[in-house]
Amino acid sequence: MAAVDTTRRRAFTTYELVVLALLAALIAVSKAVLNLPLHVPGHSGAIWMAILLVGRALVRRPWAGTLLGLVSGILAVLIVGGREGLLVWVKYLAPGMMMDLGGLLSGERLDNPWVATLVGALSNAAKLTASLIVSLMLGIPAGYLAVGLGIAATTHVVFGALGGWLGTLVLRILRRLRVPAIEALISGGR
Amino acid sequence: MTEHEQGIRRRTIAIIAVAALLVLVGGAWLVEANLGAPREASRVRVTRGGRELATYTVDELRAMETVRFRQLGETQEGPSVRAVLERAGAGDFDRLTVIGLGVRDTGVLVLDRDRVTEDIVLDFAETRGTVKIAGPSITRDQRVRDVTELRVE
Repeated sequence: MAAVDTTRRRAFTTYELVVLALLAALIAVSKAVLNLPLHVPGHSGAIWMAILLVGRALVRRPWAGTLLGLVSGILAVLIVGGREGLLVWVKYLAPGMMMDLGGLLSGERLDNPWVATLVGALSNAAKLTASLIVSLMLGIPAGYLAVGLGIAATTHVVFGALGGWLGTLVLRILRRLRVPAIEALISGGR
Repeated sequence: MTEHEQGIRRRTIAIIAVAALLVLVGGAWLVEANLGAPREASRVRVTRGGRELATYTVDELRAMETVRFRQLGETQEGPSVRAVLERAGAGDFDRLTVIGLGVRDTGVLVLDRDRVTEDIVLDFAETRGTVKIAGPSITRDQRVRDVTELRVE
């Protein structure tokens, strides 16, 4: 099967959109259902960033990460909620955009563990930054937001990095399984 | 661009990305040190008539049995206020005043005894290392965040 440079094609195929929508639903559901009893801020990023990275690495197109983040954010408004209220979707969009930037600057090497770890850390940090900006825009005092910010930033980076690395493991397993639909997606055949 | 040049470019981007992360984390600690709440927000005092009956750190509260419920799409979880008061020897009271730092809210909530039911909890704010008062009968506007004192009368 001839590989196609999917990053040059503009429009998403229906198959790619379905994959992105399913992964977006998985992100929103994982955030709502998987409450790990870690009591550490940003720990959900380990799962969340892994799914985002898998989605962006499978659908290797500009804006795929942004779209994935946006759709999961819209779903999150409906089923997760948060301090940011109706603007919670911004918190999901930011890491998606960061994944796109990471994919672009790394030459679509998100399947490299080092690149994935770094992009995962940056994406989870982008989520925290977006959340803080939205909270400030909503009039929440900076003094309130500053409490625990140091540890929150540190753990967001650590768990985001872990999520990125986990994402590459999932990608490696998916490739080893040799599922035709996934192989076709990566090579741009669908 | 040659492969060597591409390698240098990617390495430069990686270094910039790592530097950005370090600046972000360092900046967060700096902001917290300058704007953050005092350490008293990480412990809750139980008092009666100006006398301190007990003090619990957030970790000590975490070790207690917790009550969990969902409100406004969010899970609230923490030890029951009643259980905390009983442990501190303040189970017998007519009125409870919950006092917080008052940065984001009024910082005070007064509850009569019959309103302090088992499902009124000190919910853990994971990102902050503090607790807030929450319960099905307490609206979002009434919540007191960063609780520092439970004053019984």
